[in-house]
Amino acid sequence: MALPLIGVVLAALGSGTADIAARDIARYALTSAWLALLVGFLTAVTGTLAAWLVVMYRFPARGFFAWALALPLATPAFALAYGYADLFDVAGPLRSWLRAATGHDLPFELRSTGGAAFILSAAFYPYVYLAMRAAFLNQSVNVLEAARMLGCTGGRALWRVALPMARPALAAGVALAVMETLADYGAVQFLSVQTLTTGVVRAWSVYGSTVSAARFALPLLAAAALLLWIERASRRGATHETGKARWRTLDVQPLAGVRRWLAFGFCLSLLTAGLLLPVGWLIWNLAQTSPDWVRLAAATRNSLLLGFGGAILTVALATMLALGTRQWPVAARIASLGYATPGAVMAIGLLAPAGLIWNLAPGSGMAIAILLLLFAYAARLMAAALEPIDAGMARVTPSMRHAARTLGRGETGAAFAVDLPVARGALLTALLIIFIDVLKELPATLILRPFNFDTLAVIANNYALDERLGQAGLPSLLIVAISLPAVIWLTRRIATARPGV
Amino acid sequence: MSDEPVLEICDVVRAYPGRRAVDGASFTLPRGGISCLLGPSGCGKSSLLRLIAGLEPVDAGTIRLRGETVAAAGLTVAPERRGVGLVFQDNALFPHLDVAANVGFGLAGLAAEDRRARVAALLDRFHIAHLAAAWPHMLSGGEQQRVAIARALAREPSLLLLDEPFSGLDGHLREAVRDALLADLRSAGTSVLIVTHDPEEAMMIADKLVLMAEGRILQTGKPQDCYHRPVSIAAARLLGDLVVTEAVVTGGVATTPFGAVPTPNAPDGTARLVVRPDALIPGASGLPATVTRSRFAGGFYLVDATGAGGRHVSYRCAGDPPAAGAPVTLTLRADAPAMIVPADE
Amino acid sequence: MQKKLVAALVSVTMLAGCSGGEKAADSQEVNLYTARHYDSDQALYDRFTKETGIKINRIEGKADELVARMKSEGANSPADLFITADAGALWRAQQAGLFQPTESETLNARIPANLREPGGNWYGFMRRARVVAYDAAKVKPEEIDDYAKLAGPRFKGKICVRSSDSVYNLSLVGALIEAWGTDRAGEWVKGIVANMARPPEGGDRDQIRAVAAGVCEVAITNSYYYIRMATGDDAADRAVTTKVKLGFPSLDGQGAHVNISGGGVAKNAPNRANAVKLLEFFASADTQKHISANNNEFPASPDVPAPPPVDAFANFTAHPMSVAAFAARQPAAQSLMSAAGWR
Repeated sequence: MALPLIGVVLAALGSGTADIAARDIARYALTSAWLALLVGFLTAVTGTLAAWLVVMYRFPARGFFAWALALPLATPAFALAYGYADLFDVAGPLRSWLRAATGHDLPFELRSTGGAAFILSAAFYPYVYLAMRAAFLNQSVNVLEAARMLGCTGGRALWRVALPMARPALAAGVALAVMETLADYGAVQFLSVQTLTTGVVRAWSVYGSTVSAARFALPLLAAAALLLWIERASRRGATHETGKARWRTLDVQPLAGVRRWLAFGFCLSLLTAGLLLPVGWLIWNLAQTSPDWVRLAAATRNSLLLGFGGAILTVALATMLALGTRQWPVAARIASLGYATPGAVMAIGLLAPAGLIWNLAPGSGMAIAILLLLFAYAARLMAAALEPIDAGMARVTPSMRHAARTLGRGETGAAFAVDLPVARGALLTALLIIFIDVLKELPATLILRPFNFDTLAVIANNYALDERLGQAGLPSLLIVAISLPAVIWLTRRIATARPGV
Repeated sequence: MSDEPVLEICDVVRAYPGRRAVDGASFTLPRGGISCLLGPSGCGKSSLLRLIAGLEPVDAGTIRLRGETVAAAGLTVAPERRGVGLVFQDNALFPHLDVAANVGFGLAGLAAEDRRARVAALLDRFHIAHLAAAWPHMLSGGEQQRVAIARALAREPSLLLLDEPFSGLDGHLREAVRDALLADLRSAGTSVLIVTHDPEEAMMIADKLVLMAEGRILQTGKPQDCYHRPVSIAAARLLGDLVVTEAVVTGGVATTPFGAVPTPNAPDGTARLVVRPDALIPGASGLPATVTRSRFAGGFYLVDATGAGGRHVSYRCAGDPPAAGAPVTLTLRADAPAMIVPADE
Repeated sequence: MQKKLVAALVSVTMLAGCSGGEKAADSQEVNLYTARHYDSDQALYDRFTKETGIKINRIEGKADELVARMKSEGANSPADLFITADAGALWRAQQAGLFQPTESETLNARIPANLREPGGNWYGFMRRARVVAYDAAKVKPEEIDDYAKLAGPRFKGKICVRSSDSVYNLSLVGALIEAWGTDRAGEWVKGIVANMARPPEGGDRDQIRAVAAGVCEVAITNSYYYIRMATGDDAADRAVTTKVKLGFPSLDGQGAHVNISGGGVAKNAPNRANAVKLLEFFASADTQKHISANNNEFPASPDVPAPPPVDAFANFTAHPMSVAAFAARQPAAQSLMSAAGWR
């Protein structure tokens, strides 16, 4: 699974470099860092606040928001970028109308680092929300009550007790959001925000230097490794906290007066920013296009095929890894690196091992090509599958496994009889997450797909590259439509889950 | 054939980085009955249990079950093929299976009908038939344990291992639960080896004791023999408090601060006297001492005193305790077992 | 162990070699790697298949990804024909040794010499001019009739242009380097950067709309984006082009900078003959007309008149510079633009 990464490192060792000014490199690096920082901050604040409100307080539509706030997981970041860029374009209808009606323009530009940070935060805040929600639900009511007894108000209890206790979850959620930010391919590129990924693409495409491109990629890989380490390390901290104390229902406090509507408004605005507004705008724009239904139908079929195939293969491999790497956890960590690897880097890295296969099996039949693509998904998305599966299997204690052994099962038998059934919920979760991620996946699909084989994401990307946003909307919306049921099921499952069950 | 030992452990060694958890342990267990492997925390008894179950390989030595070698250097028969049942300290019930399915887990090879009958019989024997459809997380600690034991017995193992089975039970219930469980286990007729660190419990329940410390087996035998005739001070300490004083042996009689003790077999020279606190009673002659404090310990008082030469001793007192500062003279009860060991041990 | 591994590798390689030999020569297929992805192209492919019986398998992608893929596929690449919409990408593919000379008399006859690679490695069959869209109310046509004027003080803070990541900008600057030399082209780039109304963002269409919105007075754009807006279905876009006009600056008085859509036959094309047929099909008058009508590029062949609605904009002089010449200048152009701070 680490093959693409090895490919990148090997490529970086070659000779022949591109003439990219050190100043540009510094600028790209700074933009990347700034973007990651902004997204990290925004997702941390919004995700935490939303989770706290939904867990601790009663306000209108709270039960709905509990799961609906995670729905933006279904919208690809690039679709958000299309929608927002079009909606807030200088010459777009909204701003034109504003200028005409008020004489003033909006004081911001969407195609900027700040705009990209906003869009990516709107797309990725659910990672923090879900992590924090679970953390808040898990933490001992006694501790919060103790804080109250010692004179903390609700807000101060969040700040002084709940937040410090949930810090591992916060770190994990933010790390996921930042990893997604670094790995983003479509959105940042579309918004022409120049990050290190731009450097990779420029070195690769203008100067034709895979070597330079790979060298650009190395610091990104290092950042990815660091983020993964943070995520794992904080999760290790989190496991300490879930003691054996009995789980008790938290007393949900009703909010009064204007505050309940503030809470409602905040949650609604998050959902609006991440899903309703951009998707609504894309839908509104559909009216003006004449879609090529035949092609879209084929692409939908392909997307579904790859989604299911990729999910099954990735989860199968992740399960084997999770079972097999108990003795050697480093392997799983390395296999996870692909998740934070920038799309363009991944594309370069994928070509090296793919080249081997292409040379061994010339002509690349459809089956081989699709298998290659599925493996690329596995390499890219392994972390997303490993994480829930690991968590699910953590419920299997060594003694359960040993009990199965003394009760007549072999090592594999024990895995099938105990590990897999206990973790079956986690396996299903992983399947759906990978399914959704594959639907949104771009770089690997773009570069490795066989002849006459488009996915919805590829079509959306092609239209967007050609500046045909209206047409890019429909495939994007189809992705949302396909993943929405999966996301709803997932989030409802997560929302109703009780710790320890 | 029938008196062949169910378990033979011979010079077994298990080393972890930096320490030897099991360091040349040897003992045998006869078929049937309940044995206790007793030792302080960290003495290697749990490791030894895992070696017997086959969850870890031995580095040296052999383990034989019913005469068949299952573990030796380079040989580890897989746990599922040893015919040994193991009940874990945390019971390790499978959370995704209900009680009946947990108990039936090891019976995968049986026809459904036979399996159901066997499971029903086990649930009956352990008085948990009413819980057949319950889920593990709904059970109390004692109930979970019964399920775990029933599950381990389902495959009719020749030896059932229990790791600290009663440490999770609390208070006055503990004894009742334990006795009921042991009665059920005895009726099952299986050989049982229980690991524990509680000497009183071990002596109370075991037909045979195996004393272990620092990776080695110190002594095996009936609880009474181990208690009253320990082979070493270390073995004696495992089963309760000791009073150890110097002694001089001359011609088969040891001279001690508490008086003379006949020791027909001890060689002449300096030695040490080892007795239990309950062997000391106030008397006319013996060790003069001053009471420092008395503590109520249920049926008796435990009295601490300082004897001549600053020696601390304690003894049991059935009636009203002496006040602090009172003088007392301590002697050995005539029928109390006493042990004379060489001075250098 | 190692011996076994070597043996296994050898046998796998031999197997690969065998099946490589079986690559059906000139079956009724052609494998197309294309960086063009327009809905209207499908009709073309269908017509080609109908006329010749040759089935087109295609992979669409960005030019450089396709080039990288062909490189990775090496000698076993199934690619027959590579098509893209920028001369620079064609030049890079040629540098990577991915093309073979086509030696097609038909193509040499149909495509003017300056729109093809001199060695016959690749041919341009459509033209797109990199020109300007300007606010007709504020800018007089003679103020934008020369590229050099765009960099002058007249347009301080008045120019909208996309980033230097755009290959079309790279080709434009490459052409200036070819015509003027690095120093003068560098001055021009600095002048443009100084004249920018805002940091580069968005695509060409966004620049045109920014002109309409009053953000700037002149936008550097590809011709077909403007034509598509002016003649398309989107009413808002059509409204934009009533205020904003398309102008054709000239380079040294010789005409506007034009880039190409073009393609070349892959070095290891398994279906070489079919690839040539397909490239000739693209160069045919019918195809050029079809693409022009749907995608609003200009036909490459002088004998093919631009169809409506493109004809209304086709009356301009194109610079006769060889596309191969400016294509090779793209890396130098990128360095110039980066140095000048053109994002």
